[in-house]
Amino acid sequence: MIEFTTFAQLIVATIFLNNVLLFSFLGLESVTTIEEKPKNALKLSIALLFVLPLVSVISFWIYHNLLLTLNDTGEVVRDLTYLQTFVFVVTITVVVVIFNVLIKKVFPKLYMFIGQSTIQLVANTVVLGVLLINISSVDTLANSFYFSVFAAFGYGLVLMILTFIEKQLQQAPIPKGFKGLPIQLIILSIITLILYGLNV
Amino acid sequence: MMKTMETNNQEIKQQTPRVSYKNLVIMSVLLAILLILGAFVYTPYVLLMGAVAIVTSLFIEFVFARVRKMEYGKDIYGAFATPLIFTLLMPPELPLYMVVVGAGFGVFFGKSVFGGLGRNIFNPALVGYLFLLVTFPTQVSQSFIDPVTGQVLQSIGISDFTFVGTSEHLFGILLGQYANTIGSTVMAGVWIVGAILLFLKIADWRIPLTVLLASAGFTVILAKFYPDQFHDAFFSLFLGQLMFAAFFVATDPISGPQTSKGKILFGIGIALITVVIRGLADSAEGVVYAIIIMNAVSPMLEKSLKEEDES
Repeated sequence: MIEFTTFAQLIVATIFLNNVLLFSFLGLESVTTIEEKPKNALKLSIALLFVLPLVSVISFWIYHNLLLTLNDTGEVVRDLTYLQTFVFVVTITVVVVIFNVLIKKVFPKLYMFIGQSTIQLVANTVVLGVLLINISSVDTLANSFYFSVFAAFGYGLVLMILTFIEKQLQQAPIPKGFKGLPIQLIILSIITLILYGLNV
Repeated sequence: MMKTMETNNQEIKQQTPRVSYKNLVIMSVLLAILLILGAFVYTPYVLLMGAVAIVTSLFIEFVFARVRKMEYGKDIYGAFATPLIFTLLMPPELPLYMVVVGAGFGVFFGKSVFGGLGRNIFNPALVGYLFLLVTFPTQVSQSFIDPVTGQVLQSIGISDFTFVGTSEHLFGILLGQYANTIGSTVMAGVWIVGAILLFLKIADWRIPLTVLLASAGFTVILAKFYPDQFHDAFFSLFLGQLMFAAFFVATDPISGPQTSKGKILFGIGIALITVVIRGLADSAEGVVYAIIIMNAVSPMLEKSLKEEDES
């Protein structure tokens, strides 16, 4: 899915062309829980920017050292990859809880701002989704770090854009059947048309 | 129950922003002039395409208003500009059923669903164009007709130019001797009609000016780094749909920003995305993507600018 030869390509591909929200449709549930408040979207994005790189580096290491072990000639010695979803969910939960406790002690102000949103991230598919893309298409630990940073950035960007559009639509006489989630999905799909158009 | 619905409707009507029926009518007439110019250069089939697009979008809006039991009334004045812009963005001799699909999709998902006239976030004509481009890529982006010889070309007449433009080329573009989409073939017409639009203050002069100046500027800058992809900055303004879109599509008062600062940033954003897509992506023309992206960003842009002003 993702092939990047240069760093610039990685940035453009991850933020725009393979945007996790638009291209892979991950993390859609947050779109509905934001409730048209740009501040909530900002909190969630900042929390994601802290948590996602941390989780993805840790899970990348776990996957390549504990779940899947190769010997020197490249043969598979141990293959526990069928456990990956379970292990990743546990990793996400543990890392988020530890992260929250740490920032509560060390940076209380930051905790006041993003503490609630960080807990929400445990149930957000964007975290697990990025981890799964991470192990399947990223080759090194450093790249997995960069990939997750830009993925979080792109997710936050689209989420912010969407909340502002939602805010503007509050007054609009949208048909009853289209209010809420349907109109959000229509907006998302129109933006996604651009990505498909660019690939034509 | 009926009473509350009526009052609700009235409240909504009063809040309807950014729409001037007079301007919409003048805009439609001017776009129709461009369509007729296109019919002179190509065949009268172009007029049929325009008519089919208008009938489709009127039908959809009328039926949608009927289903919602809302008054249609004066909104009919706003129903002509969208299909006309859509038709002018298309290549000539597009099959009619594709016109129906594109105009229908654009009007329904770009306009009606958002609550009708004056409420759309994205320009409905561009939504239709984009959908058609994704669905029928060869017909929309790779079948142009040379106005002089009548040949079918894979790309627009001067899209893959590597020459240094001469005044001969310039006159050719102005008089419509190179293949292009219907609206942008006769560049002189685009200029004259666009000038009328700016003179009557239907469109804000800031947006076309910033789009054109900034895209020339970005082309000059990027040509320094990528000399293979970017060429003559002046002639790049005449390529494809950029000039047409800068005058007629980007200046849409509904989907664009309201403040003058916002308009300038909007124009610069369109120019940057257009130039980058043209040079570095596979697509030939990027201005449609650029305007849709900036439409999506413009509520955020406006809000942040307003908050800065307040504080």
